[in-house]
Amino acid sequence: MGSLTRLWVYLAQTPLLWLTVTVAVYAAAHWLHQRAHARAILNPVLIAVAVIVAILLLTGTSYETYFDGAQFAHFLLGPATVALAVPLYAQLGKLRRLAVPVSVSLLAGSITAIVSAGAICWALGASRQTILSILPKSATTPIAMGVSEGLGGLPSLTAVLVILTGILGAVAGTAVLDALRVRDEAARGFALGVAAHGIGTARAFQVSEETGAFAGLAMGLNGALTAVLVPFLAGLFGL
Amino acid sequence: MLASLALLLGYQLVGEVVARALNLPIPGPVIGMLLLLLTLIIRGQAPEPLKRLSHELLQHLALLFVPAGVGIIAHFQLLQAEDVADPRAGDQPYPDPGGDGAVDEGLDR
Repeated sequence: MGSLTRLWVYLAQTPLLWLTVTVAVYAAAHWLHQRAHARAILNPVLIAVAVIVAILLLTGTSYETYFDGAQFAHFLLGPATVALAVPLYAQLGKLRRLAVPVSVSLLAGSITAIVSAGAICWALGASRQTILSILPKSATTPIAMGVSEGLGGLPSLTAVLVILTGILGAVAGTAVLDALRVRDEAARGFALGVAAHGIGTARAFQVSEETGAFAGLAMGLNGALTAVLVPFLAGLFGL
Repeated sequence: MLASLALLLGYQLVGEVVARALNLPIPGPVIGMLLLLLTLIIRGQAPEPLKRLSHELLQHLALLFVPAGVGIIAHFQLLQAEDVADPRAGDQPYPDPGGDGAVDEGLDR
């Protein structure tokens, strides 16, 4: 037992353990998702996050220790975001033809995300700070946190809301689009990217390259537009 | 493959530098993506190895969000420390963000 404890103490401190846990749990979640015919509720991000959170709580491991290992996967988000240019380039012809609908739906989606979240929070009696923190929730995390901080919201609350938005969008998004009979892959991808940023984009890439390309485009554009719109709309509503 | 990886990292780096230098609210990788797209448009085609690497990376994009997603537990701890209003109920104090005591207990260890 003593040597087992020593082994655990050693392993728990190396980046290798938590990187391995991250990849292995995700691989299992991905397998489960495939087995269940890609049922959206079994979203691999949702399952992997829930399982790893449970493991960390059960073993009393801090997030800092976990992230020491997991940061190697996290780091690849940067190059992966840059890589979105490649499928986007492949869809350039379609994108040019769709320039007007894309612009209109970007504006509509961005405003809807901001105003609906703010209005529901306000109606439920949330504080001003909480409302300011939720407004940029559909933008990608670094943009949303920056916007929230600039307006006097709580960046850490915003970060949680951004991740929850992404997971909810990835889990419920395709079902909502099915119910609305949206069939076009470009439209489905764009909707996922506007509403649920990177996690929605990851979901879109599980469907097809075209869906993913338009989701990635929507994520980038909505991030930039949210950074402009949130301060403007907050001012308009006297926040 | 290696040259493509260097290319992606290089564009990200340039994107980060541009974002900092011009004080833009847009993250460096998003600027890097736009610059790479511009380059591909000017060049008129995407190199085969770059296509393969991008496909590989984006196929597993969901995995890359897991570490940030797990970060929810650290953020809950932060929110508790700041004693913010409950996002669900308004100006109440924030005694137990997990709703069941589990989150704070684990983080305190």
